[in-house]
Amino acid sequence: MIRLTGVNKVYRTEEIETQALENVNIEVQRGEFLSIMGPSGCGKSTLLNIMGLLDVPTSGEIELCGTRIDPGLSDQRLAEFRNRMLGFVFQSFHLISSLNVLDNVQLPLMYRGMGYGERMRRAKEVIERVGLSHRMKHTPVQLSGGQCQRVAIARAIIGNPEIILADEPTGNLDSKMGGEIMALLKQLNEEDGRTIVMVTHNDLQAQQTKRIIKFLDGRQIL
Amino acid sequence: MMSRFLIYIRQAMALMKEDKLFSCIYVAGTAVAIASAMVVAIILNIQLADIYPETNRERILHMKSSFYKEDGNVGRWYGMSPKGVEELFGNLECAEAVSASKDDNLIYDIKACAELGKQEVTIFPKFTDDAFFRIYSFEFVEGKPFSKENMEHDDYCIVITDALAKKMWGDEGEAVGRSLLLNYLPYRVVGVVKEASPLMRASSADVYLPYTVKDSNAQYNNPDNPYSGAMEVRVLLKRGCTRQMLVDELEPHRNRILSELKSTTGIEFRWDIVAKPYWADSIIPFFPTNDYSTGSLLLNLLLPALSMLLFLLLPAINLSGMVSNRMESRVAEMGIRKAFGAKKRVLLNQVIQENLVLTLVGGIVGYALSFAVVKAISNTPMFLTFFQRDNDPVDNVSMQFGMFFTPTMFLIAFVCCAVLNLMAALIPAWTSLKRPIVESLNQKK
Amino acid sequence: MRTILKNLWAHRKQNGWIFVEIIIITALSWFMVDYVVVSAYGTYFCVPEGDFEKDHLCVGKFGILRGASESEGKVITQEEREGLYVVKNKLENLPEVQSVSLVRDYIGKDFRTYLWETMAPADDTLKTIGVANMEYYQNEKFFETHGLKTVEGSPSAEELSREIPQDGLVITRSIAKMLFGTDQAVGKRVARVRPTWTGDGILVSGYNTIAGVVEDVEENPHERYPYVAFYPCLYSVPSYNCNLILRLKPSVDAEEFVKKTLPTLTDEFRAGIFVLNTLETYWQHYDQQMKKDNSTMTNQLASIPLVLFCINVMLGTLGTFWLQLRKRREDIGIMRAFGASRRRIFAMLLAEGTVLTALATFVGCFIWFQFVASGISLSDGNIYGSSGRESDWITQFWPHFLIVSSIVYLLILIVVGIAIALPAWGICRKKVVDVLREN
Repeated sequence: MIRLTGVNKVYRTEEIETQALENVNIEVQRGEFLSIMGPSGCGKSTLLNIMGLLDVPTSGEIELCGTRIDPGLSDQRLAEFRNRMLGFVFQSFHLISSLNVLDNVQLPLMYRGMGYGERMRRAKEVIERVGLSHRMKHTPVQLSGGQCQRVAIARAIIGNPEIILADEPTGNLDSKMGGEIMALLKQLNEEDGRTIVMVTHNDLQAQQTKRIIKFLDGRQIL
Repeated sequence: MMSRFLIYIRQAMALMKEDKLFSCIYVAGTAVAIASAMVVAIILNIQLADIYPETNRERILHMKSSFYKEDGNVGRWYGMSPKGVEELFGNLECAEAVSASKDDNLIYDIKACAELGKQEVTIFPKFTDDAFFRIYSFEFVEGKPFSKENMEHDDYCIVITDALAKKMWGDEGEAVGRSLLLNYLPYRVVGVVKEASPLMRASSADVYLPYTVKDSNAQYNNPDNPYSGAMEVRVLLKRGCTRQMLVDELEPHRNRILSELKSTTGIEFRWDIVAKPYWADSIIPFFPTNDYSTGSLLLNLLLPALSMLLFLLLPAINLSGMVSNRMESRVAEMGIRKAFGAKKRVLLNQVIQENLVLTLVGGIVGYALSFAVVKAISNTPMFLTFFQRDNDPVDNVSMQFGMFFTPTMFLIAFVCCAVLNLMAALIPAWTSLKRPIVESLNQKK
Repeated sequence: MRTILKNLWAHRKQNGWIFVEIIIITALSWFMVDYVVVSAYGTYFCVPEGDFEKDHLCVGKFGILRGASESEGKVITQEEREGLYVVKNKLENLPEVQSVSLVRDYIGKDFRTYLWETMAPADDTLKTIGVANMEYYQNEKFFETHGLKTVEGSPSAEELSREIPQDGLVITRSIAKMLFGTDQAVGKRVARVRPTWTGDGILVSGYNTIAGVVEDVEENPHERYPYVAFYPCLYSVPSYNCNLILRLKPSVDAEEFVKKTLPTLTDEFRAGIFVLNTLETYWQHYDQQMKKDNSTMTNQLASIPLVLFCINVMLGTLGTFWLQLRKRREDIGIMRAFGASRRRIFAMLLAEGTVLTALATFVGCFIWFQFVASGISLSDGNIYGSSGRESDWITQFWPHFLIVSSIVYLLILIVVGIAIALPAWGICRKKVVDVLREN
């Protein structure tokens, strides 16, 4: 499903050069629930961004769903890839504060050029699925953190992507709400068979996933 | 007080550095606003202030005469004959000098050349008399004005500007004593004056000729009326005398001449003499009136003043938008300050004063810009219309320091800045400060 | 569309200022744009068909040389006048020259002051038309030197130049069409009319018979309608203040010719008391006239506030959007993470500007419409020659109002577009991760 071969990422500023990722080789199978662990600054978010095509590696190859991602791919093509294959869940939710829940969720569909009615129908469906049908017209400011993250998950799955990338999805939540979100992710993995890659530093939550990769200073150690 | 102001300046400087983009756009917006308002102010300043050689403008009156017959016919004769000027203005108590020159509207282009076959230039002449140089304080580079005797002998002698002298003979020696061909007639140069800017409509010309020379048509006479002709009169009042005093003094002379006219010609004339202050001829009269009091001047300045306000108002809307955007991102800061006890008024002052520094920087840039703009457009007919020179052969508009930079102008620029600043910062600052503290503190980012 | 409106609404507090500003500026600049547009249309788009050939035309002017003692009060004698013809012959004998004509006036001699009068068919004096008129000296090859072509059915240019009846006049094709509905107007009679002082009637000051019809020309390029009438000069002969026009052979370059002739002009072309003191190509003369023309001036006068307004809108939009986008960076990052391409984001931002401008301009134009409804008239471009019966978009209210309104909209749209494009491009160029990380 996802294959990273010899991926390096180097950040250069005027003074220093930081090796964020060093010769990373990972293969994620279809239907896997993988968690990436490590202390902060170890490069796990960078890895996720590279998987999510939000960032380009300095060297190395990426293959997503059987397609090799050429580093010179146009912005248009990349955007299309992200839209069809990937769903993101962020630690700080990243909801658009000026839009209500329904509009936030239907966003990925809009970029597919889907009609308004169809978009709304599907958005309502997934919102129901994450259990927020009573909050559809609310704006993110009026929701609690857990609710926000549910909206974010709904947004990530509405486009039926093969892969969901979650960057510390429970990092900003208390343990009860965090548990609920984890349960939701697990359900998505088990029932729908979606591939999920999650970055976390919560051991307990990592234990619930099928495979764990540990990172230290840009290198995979486990 | 001073030190507090310095603190604000330091803070504002820090803010400017911190948010360069905002500062740049803000300063640019202010500069455009101030520049456009100051262009209007500069135009008015040139029209109204004492500028070489019209340094006595306050005391100069333009006398307009018009005769018409009382028989209901609408024809009018504007202007007076030299005889009329002599009899009406000959002995006045309150006049320091009286000068007659040919009506500017009757002047036509003249071609000048140093000698036949040499390069010809079209020049703007002024047909006038010796007293002209007493009303306007010309600076003579060489020679002297033509005299009363020159006029009496119908001498072909002229005073020219240094610019024309240079154009005609370059730098080769004195111009006085040389002869210049005007429409192929030779004239002797008796004086060279420092050029008056063409924007000084009442006094500027390339060549000053005695109106007695034969080319001038100045002796155009009305066969019915020996007092009407082509001359216009300017009077320099003695210090302390008023316009009304002159009008009163003229009245008996006017009546005497009218009755004389009736007895010699048998025609009943009406004769209006209007004493216009200098500004009535130099500003564009938006509200034409025969009232020449200061109030009327102010009324006529209303439209330029409104346009200045408009030039400030529109950018102020822009700046308001930007300030409001910025206040939005500073809401939390303001919340904290309020939480620690800052009063609303104090905060408001702070915002306004921070902006004032930006506005002043913009003001200085704008002032300089207005100077550049006026310089750049000074040769266009459009600009010359404001000085009623768009019809004349003006090819190079010289300008002086005093047209742009005077204490009054600095004051005006400062007032513009202050007005702009208030308009721009007050509303957005006020609305954002009105928010309750808790909401401000909770505001994300 | 919904998203655009929602975005605009979400940032109403900031956009409101731009909105208000565009409304005010639309309302304020409407009449200036109107003037500039109508006069530009008249100047550059209403070039009459069959206009005379100007590339090989030169114009000149005579001055008078007389000693001071002999000058004043004397009429120019027949003998002295011969000087004019000596100069003219000398010019005509130059190998480059095709023909020379001494004239009082020529088309476009002075853009600021030209005569015009009102004319009507002799049998229907209420059907008036304003025309520019000029007088020409007969037997001076006026028409052919000028390059005025006659229409079919009219005597030829050479014939018209020679001699026409005392009450004859030559008009342009458009006058004939407006007065008689046909260009076959030779022999028809027209009345020169003027309104009475009281304004309730028409006085006829004379009748003329049409001796010839020439192709359309305009007295001044700003005039929209090509109405010019030529009268033979009956009471004067070439003398004081005489001008000349000179047609060069088609192979000669006019500018070269003038450059070659000018240095020795006053020495070579001088005879008796007359001296040819100016010679320039028609286009040089034209450009100079254009520079000091009233319409050009008014155009500049109207353009300066327009430019200022545009700078204002530009700066305002630039500043507001820049600050606004800084806050919307996160949103834009999210949109891109979920599959919006750069181009798409860029287009969305521009679309927001377009809609904002459209709404504001609409309100602004509506405000101006209120002024128009209460009696302020639309621009007619500062022209003299007109009959009031022409029908083009300028004279019809709705086309005029809508065309100018859309030009105002376009103008502001371009300005707003540029002002949005700059910050929008800046934010689109950034990498998604950077944008998201900053928050």
